Amino acid sequence: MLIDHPLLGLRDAAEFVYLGDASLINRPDPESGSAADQFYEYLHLRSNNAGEHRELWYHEQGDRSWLVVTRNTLTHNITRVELARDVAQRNASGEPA
Amino acid sequence: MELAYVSDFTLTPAAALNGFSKRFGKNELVEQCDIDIVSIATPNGQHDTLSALLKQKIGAALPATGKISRADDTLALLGLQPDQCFLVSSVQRPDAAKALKSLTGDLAYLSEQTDSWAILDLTGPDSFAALERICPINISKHAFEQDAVARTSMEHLSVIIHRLGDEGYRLYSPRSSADSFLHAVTESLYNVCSTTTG
Repeated sequence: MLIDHPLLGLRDAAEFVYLGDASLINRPDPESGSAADQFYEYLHLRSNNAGEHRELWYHEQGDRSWLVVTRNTLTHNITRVELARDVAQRNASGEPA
Repeated sequence: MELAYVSDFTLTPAAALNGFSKRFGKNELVEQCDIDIVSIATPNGQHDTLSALLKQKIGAALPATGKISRADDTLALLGLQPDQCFLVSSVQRPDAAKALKSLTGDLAYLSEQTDSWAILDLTGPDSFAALERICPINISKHAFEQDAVARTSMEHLSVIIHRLGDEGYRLYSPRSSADSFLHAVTESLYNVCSTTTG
């Protein structure tokens, strides 16, 4: 499987480490009144999509950047690859993902 | 007054691979022992300021990820990842990071990397054939040009690679696994050269 890195082009998936659902970027505010419930959901609740899935990959044997990869879990087809920092900044500014 | 006698000695750094140098057919694999390396990380939001300062002080601006920015034949910046690059210099000075710190002040996070890496130059007509067997990225002349640099892996070991002219590559791998890395490269060279020479 090849991942089309936004800065480096196509790189072998063996260079990457998979972390999990891209929603892990959105860490709850620990100062919030409902922090306990939010962290429970953040840590334990995941949707198990049969189809398009956004997930975090780390380019460990490469440029050490975190990526958000949009992959179809039925076909393994990768439709979109973004730097996680760009996604996080977009989330923080309230823009749609 | 009684005099204390202390041996007057000078420490000499030992090369990671004991200065390895060997010919494989028409190819040559030589360890580079005299290269200073300093890691430069950019504080958040300071990229443009640091880049302009480096351009002014050392003659090379911060490179894009995957590219090399050269000051002259002796000094270059290797763009390894967003917000981090390696300064490599063939003009050795004691405490390279301290010397750079006097130029950059608090505008950069620096760490001394000299002697932490085993550096090998592989040159010759079979260099591409030998490395393409163990390198997962495309390092052909057209895909991996003179100013390109990449961090990747070979035989599961971390490697930084860039091109040396049409028929050569420079390889950096961590010193702690230098012997295993040398074994990987020499095995591939041996296999390729024994094939090409029959």
